[in-house]
Amino acid sequence: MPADIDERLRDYAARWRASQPLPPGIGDPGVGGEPVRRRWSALAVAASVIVVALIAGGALVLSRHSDPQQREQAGGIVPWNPVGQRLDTAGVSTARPIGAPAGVRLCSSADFTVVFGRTAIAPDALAGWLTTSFVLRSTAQSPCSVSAYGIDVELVDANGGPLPDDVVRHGPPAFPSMLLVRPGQFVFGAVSWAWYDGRAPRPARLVIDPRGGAADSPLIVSLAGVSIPPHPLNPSNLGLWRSGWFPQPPSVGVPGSLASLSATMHAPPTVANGSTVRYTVEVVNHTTAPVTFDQCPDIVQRLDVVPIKQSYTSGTRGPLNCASAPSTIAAGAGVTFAFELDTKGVVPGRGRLSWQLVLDSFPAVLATAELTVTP
Amino acid sequence: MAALAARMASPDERDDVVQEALTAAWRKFELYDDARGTPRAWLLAIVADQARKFYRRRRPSSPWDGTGSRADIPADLDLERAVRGLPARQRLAVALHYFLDLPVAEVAVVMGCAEGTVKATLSHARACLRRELGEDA
Repeated sequence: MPADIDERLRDYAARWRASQPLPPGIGDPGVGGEPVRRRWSALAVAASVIVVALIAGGALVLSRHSDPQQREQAGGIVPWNPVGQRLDTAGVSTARPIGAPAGVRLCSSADFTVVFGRTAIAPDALAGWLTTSFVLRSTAQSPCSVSAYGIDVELVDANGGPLPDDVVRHGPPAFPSMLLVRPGQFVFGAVSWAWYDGRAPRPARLVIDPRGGAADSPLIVSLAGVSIPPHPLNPSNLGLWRSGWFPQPPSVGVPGSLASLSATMHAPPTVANGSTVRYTVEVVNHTTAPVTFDQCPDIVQRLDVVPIKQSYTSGTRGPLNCASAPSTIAAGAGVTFAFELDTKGVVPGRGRLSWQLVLDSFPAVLATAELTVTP
Repeated sequence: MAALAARMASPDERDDVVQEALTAAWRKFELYDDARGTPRAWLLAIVADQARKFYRRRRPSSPWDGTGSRADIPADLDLERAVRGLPARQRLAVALHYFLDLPVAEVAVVMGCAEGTVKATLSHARACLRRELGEDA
């Protein structure tokens, strides 16, 4: 007699889950591998964006530190503290911005400067998709508001002509519908987009429009030098032309919060299978307010390798080595942390190493690097 | 979301199901009520709804029996085919509970029914599968 159907279902379902290209978790950086996988990855991240917007409970504001005497000052590399537990999936989140009271004027492009803009073949890419991340800083003298839905972006060609897309621009707003931006605060945004080569002029710039008035000083992120991959599922560009993007709800970073930090990972290009990858992450405070590690955040580190179809992952989650870290990262200063991750559970192939700073389940900072696991 | 779409839609439609679900979720953003369930449950319910719509569209011309979708799955072909042949509600319950490994309580939230109803649906599904697979005692 065969096994009970319940047991048979569980057994088959477990094998089915293991065979899936990506875990149902979010934030999977899936690199390489087949195009479909990358599309799944993008969809997962797009889902995470929506989930994040739903679950985030408020801006990350750290409380003031209490025992700075145990901490060293900035300068050297904060050593790796091998405390933590292995994980199956890493979370991705961002803070939900604060809603603007009624009557606050709309922000215009003149209220901001672009302090950061980068385009990459996203870890969250669909096949052929890229993600452009940008950070705006409010240079206004008074608070203003941006629509959670309506920080519009547009891809334009070299002549400034807008490229067609399939974005619905007039849907119902997200909640809170209007976000408050105080002077000096930062607005973080990202869009994922695709360009089907041959069906439209090449995108040259991303124009950001807060919609609060005439765009007499457009906010522009250049796409010069960005390598736009051909669409792997449609290399001959047959079929319908389509371009579009997933707009993320913009988040407003409060200077002094973890979310206002940026991180850069320095990892070796290769690591031998079975050995430990050692890397550093430089965390920099680009804002005008100090950031404290009073409430010690967690770090999530993860290596994903996708040799052919199946994703292989090694990851841990544990507290940042706050005991050895400076208590405060001053405005404009940075701290470098050392980390280690074994490659157990992965196989040789191209992969992506990701690192995240997480506070109260709200990941605030993300850094990634490509890495090849050699036999 | 991806896993549920993979269970509920054909291989060539699952990406579109997820994408449509995300679009729908974005449009319905303000309708989400955290008192009624977790964001995951809300999103899964939207995926299930979108998968059903795709299924209806496909039905007249291109039936899909759920086989031959992925060569790399260590398949139990008989069981896979039997699961795909379940009525929609039972298939959804099986997908959520077994393949997405959700507890019954969360399956109930996704399906918008009571836990007891989920248990009954799963019980009926298992009975159907036993019959289909000739495992009746």
